[in-house]
Amino acid sequence: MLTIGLMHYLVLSAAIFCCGIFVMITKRNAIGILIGVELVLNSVNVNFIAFDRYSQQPGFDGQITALFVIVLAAAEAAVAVAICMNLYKNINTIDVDRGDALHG
Amino acid sequence: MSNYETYLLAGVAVPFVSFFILMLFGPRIGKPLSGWLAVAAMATCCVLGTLTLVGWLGEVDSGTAAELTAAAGESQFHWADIGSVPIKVGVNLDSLTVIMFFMVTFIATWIFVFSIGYMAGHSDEVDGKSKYHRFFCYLSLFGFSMLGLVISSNLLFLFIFWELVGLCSYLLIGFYFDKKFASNAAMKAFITNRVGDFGFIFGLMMVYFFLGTLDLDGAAAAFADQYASGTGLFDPSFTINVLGWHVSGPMMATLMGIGLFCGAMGKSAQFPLQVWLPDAMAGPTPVSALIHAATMVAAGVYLVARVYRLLTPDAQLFIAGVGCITLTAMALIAIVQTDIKKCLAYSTLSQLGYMIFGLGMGAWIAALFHLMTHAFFKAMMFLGSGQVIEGCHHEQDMRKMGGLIRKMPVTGVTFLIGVLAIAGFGIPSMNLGLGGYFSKDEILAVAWDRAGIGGEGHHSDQDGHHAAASGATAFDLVSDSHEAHNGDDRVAGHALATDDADHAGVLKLMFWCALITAYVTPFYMMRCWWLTFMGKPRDQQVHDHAHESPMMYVPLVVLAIFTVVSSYALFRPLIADAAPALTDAVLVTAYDGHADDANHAKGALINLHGAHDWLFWGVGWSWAIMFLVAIVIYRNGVGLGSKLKSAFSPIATLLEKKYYFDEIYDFMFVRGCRLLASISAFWDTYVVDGIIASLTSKATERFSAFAGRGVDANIVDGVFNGMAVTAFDLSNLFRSPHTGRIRNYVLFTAGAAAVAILLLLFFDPVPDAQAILTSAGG
Amino acid sequence: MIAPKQLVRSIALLTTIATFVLSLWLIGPFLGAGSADAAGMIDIFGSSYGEKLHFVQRADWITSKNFTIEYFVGVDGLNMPLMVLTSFVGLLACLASWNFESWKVNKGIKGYFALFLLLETGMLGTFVALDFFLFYIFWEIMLLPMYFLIGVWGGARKEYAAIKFFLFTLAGSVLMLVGLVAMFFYSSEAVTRYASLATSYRPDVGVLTTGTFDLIELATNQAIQTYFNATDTYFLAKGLQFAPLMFMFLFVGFAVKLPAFPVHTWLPDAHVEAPTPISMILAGVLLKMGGYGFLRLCYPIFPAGGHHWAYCLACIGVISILYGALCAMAQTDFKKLVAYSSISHMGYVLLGVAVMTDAGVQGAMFQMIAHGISSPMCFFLVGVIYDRAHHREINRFGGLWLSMPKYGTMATIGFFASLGLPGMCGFIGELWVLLGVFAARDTFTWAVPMAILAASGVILTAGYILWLIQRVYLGPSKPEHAKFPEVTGREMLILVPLAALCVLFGILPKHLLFDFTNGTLDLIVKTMAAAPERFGSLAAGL
Repeated sequence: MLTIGLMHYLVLSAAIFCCGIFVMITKRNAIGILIGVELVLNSVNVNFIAFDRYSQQPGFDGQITALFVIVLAAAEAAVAVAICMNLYKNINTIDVDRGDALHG
Repeated sequence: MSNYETYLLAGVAVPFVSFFILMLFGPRIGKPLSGWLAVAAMATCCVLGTLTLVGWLGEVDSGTAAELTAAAGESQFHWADIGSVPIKVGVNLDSLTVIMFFMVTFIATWIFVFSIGYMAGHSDEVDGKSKYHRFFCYLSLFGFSMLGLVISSNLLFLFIFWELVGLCSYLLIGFYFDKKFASNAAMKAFITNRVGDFGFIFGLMMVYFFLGTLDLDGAAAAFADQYASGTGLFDPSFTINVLGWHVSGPMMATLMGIGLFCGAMGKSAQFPLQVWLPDAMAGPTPVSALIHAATMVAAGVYLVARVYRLLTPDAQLFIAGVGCITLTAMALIAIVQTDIKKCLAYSTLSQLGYMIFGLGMGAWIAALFHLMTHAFFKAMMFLGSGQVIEGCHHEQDMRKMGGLIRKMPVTGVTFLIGVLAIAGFGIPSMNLGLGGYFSKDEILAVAWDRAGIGGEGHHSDQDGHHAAASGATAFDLVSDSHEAHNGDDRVAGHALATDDADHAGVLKLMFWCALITAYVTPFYMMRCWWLTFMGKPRDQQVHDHAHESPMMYVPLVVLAIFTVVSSYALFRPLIADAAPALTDAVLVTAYDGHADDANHAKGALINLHGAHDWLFWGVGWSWAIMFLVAIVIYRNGVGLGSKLKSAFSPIATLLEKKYYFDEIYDFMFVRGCRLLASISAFWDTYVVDGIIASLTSKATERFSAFAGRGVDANIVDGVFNGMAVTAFDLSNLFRSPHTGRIRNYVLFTAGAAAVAILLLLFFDPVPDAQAILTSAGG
Repeated sequence: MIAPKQLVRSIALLTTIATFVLSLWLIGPFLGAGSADAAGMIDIFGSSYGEKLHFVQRADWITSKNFTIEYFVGVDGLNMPLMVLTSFVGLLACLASWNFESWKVNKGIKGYFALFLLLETGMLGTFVALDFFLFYIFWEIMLLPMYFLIGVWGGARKEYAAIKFFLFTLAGSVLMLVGLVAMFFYSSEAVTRYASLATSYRPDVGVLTTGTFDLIELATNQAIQTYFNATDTYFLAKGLQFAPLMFMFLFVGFAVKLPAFPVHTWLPDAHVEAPTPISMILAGVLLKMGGYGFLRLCYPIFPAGGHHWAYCLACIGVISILYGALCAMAQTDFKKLVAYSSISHMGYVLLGVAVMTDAGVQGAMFQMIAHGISSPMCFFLVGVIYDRAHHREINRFGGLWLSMPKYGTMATIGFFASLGLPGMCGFIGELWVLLGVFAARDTFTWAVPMAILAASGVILTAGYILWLIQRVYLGPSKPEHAKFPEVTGREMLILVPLAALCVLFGILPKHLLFDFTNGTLDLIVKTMAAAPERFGSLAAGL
């Protein structure tokens, strides 16, 4: 029987992380990118909890951090959505490639 | 504080109050009233001045004056500290102050009265706004400043009031500032005075630094003390290194005296700063009378008299030289003047030269006596000329006048009294004469004595005074020890030469110049009077309109009476009373300080210098001879004069052009300064700013512009450009990933993270990483 | 930003009035200093520098294991008059901004007054701060509002002028920042190396064990002074002596503000483009930061550096005086002329400080205050006529005294004060400085020629000011100016106090200023004078 160890969680986390990055790279829709970001954040959460669970002195540090990240993610999502709205208001689309006024 | 101080301080304050009221409420007070306010203020001053004078005469008689002077020196106001040197200011209460105060207030009061009459006939409205009140406002300010100058016990305060009278002069010369020449003249006056003040400030610095105080008496005491004890300036080892030029103490003392005298050169319009005074006649005539003849221009003489105790023989000689050049050169110019006011202006310059010359020659009392008498008769003559100009509808050219005595008898007669006074009218061997006969001739007599023309042994009658000879001996000792100490006899020898024998030639030359000028003066004054008042009218239109008004001739009469009185009584005794204290100098000698008899100079002169018969007769009748010459030449108008002028045309042109001083100064200083200014501005805009700005912003702009046009061509432009271009290229390189697309950024970030992790795994920069991963897997 | 638009001006005015009234309160402890003799002065100012500070407030602001940055403010004779001046000029400038609606750029009144008040905060803070870090913060705070005030509400080339102002000042303050950090670390080194000397001036601290940003501590702690001014204390590389180098770093920062030749070029541009009230503040207060910086930082902390550079600085001072005056003479823009005259006048401040004699330093201090009164007046006079004529070409004016007599009178007072007419404020500072330079002749071989050159500045000054008066106010009245309205009540409200102060400061310099400042200045001068003896060859370097 396969024992679920730390490595499995890390592989899962890496997979989710890569998905998130992939979404962020390929999507041109701002909301899509936002979803990618959420994936990345959640992969990090998985990592935190896993490391906490498998560390020599298990405690609640990782879980608390994960909670913290979730709250931050929510706040970040709110800000990001507000940015999307403003972007739409200004250039009538949420295609992020069109918002390149600041490119160097 | 004695009564006298209170009177004097109140006398200074009253015109200031008047000035303040007129400045604030002048337009509302209106036309005649604001004038009368100023007159009332000045008359109050005059009353105070008279009270002081009368009281003071009593004190002098009872011998308590010296105590009062000392007491006044004690009660001083602590005004400020320069560094740690306290500057105290108080009233300089002595006979000279009292008599100057009276003279200024008296003349000013009558000139103010005259001004009301004068301004009544003048259009003072420009653009519908009256300047009438402003005229009296400035006059009041002048009264305040001039009286402040007279009573100041401190050099710094003297300087402050000195500048304030300069300001008033500026404002009043430029009173008709809508005329270009008036505002030009005002500016010229102020800036020329500033040149003199530059020297004055330098003199102040030296007094402050070497004598440790700016108090007049304190400085004199310190000077005498240093001389007596051989410290400070008279320390044999004293030397200042100015750019490798070693200045000895006595030379520094000379420079100090000359520095202070520079101020007097500006204000009393001495050569070579004389250029402003003739132009200053652009101001209203009462101003010319008050400021540019009677009071302010005499301030320079007053200053030299006050700092007499700080002078060295060399400085004194310098002063005499400057005075001599001025009195001669300016008298010659006066001969060719055709403008009545200019003619008077040049005679003022010449007379001021006499006073300065007198101080330089050691005729302290005579010079100040001349200041007093001159103030009265010159103010009167200027007012007379104002009356003439006013009566002739602003005609100032004497060639168009003539025969005015019939239309203006009072003016003509009073003017003649002035002419007689300035010419030194008097009957030799009789106690009868006017103004200059006593004062100017006394200056000449002292000069004669000093120059040694009257024979040797002239120092013997300096009883009761520092003999020049003993002064010289004492100083020679200092010099000798200095030489011994330094081994440099050139420095010490050059520093001070007290012995007149060294300068006998110069002294003689100066005396002859002054003597010859005593012959020139009656000539040009009589020419002026004759052309104006006698002969046939040369311009009928001018003649028809001529008239005089009582408002204006009353002051003339009063001043004429005082011209006569001042020649005999009142002035000389008080000046002589002030002399011993103020000429108690360690290095220079006042040769007439002992002649304190209440009688006038001529008598004293005869008694003291019996050998002067030649001089006595030679100068005594100069007025008569030259009057005659002038009348002969000008009896039929300007015809003969013009012929003479064309006969001597090069000289006449030189004189008419005032020796080309204006042209030279204009070229050298005015244009030079403006050129320098333009160069500075150019330099500032294009070089300083160019360099600094290009180092900051412009460089960046330009280099990026270069790079934009092409890299290859510009790399060769030099290292500096190359660097900028490289920077630009690099930034372009780094710019390219900045697409502004989020996914690109994410890709870079993720890629970089991946690379970092791979490096971490394979190169093991962190020793424990492998172990951590291993344990995690386990 | 929340105030209603119509109330903005009133709120700003009330604030500045309140500030002014409160700043008058600062004078309190200094009153009566002059009535006592020298001993009385010492009682008020303390027997050593920084001993008797008034209105001291101290609190730890940023603390860490290694350093403490304090909120440390206090008032002594050096900054008290400058603070009163700041609040006074601030009040008048606020009044001068009252006609904001009629300006060319009249948008954003809220922003304007907000930045204006922020600027005043920065200026007052800079003067009152006694902790170097706090000083630096305020110094930078001041910069930003000024940048926007010039850049947004300025004239035609406002962007250029604002950027130039910003870059010059920033370049100066970068060097100051280096100095700030270096001085902290070196002071930390000093107190460990000379622990026996490191007794603090504060009894509650006792012996100092850590580095410090406290300006008074830096100037008075013997350990720090000894180490800072020693000949063998180097910075960065061997041979670069610490005191001269740090002195120069700080000096450059302040010289830009002063401004001294050759880093003065931002000033004419900034003045020409800035709106009138901002010019008043710029000339009246900001330029004083430079002189204040010399007297608060450079000289007390690095007296040896001061001696090292004395010649150089005095020369810069003389050059500024003459060069500024010559440049002023050539200007045809009214405002630019006044700007260049500021450079000339501030040259006296530098010269007076550089010779390090008591008369010189007193004169420099007086000159700062005097210029702080006369130059806002001159700039406002320019503003008055600019509001009417909408140009500043000197040669196009003429005869203004005829059409506007009150204005002409005020202008005469203002410009004659600037000219240094005795009896007015400009004279005292110049004379004291000149006497101070002359008094330095024992230490300076060149003191006498320098005094002569600087004194010849008075002739040049008279030249350009009188020429200006002649071209603008005298001469025949021109028809296009004849209809100009006379100065309004509001304008008189600004001009009259300034004119009155111009005269009062000239008449009573001791009672209005020297009594308040001389105690502190004497203490600073004593520190400077003692330097050659204490620190040997470095101080005697030139």
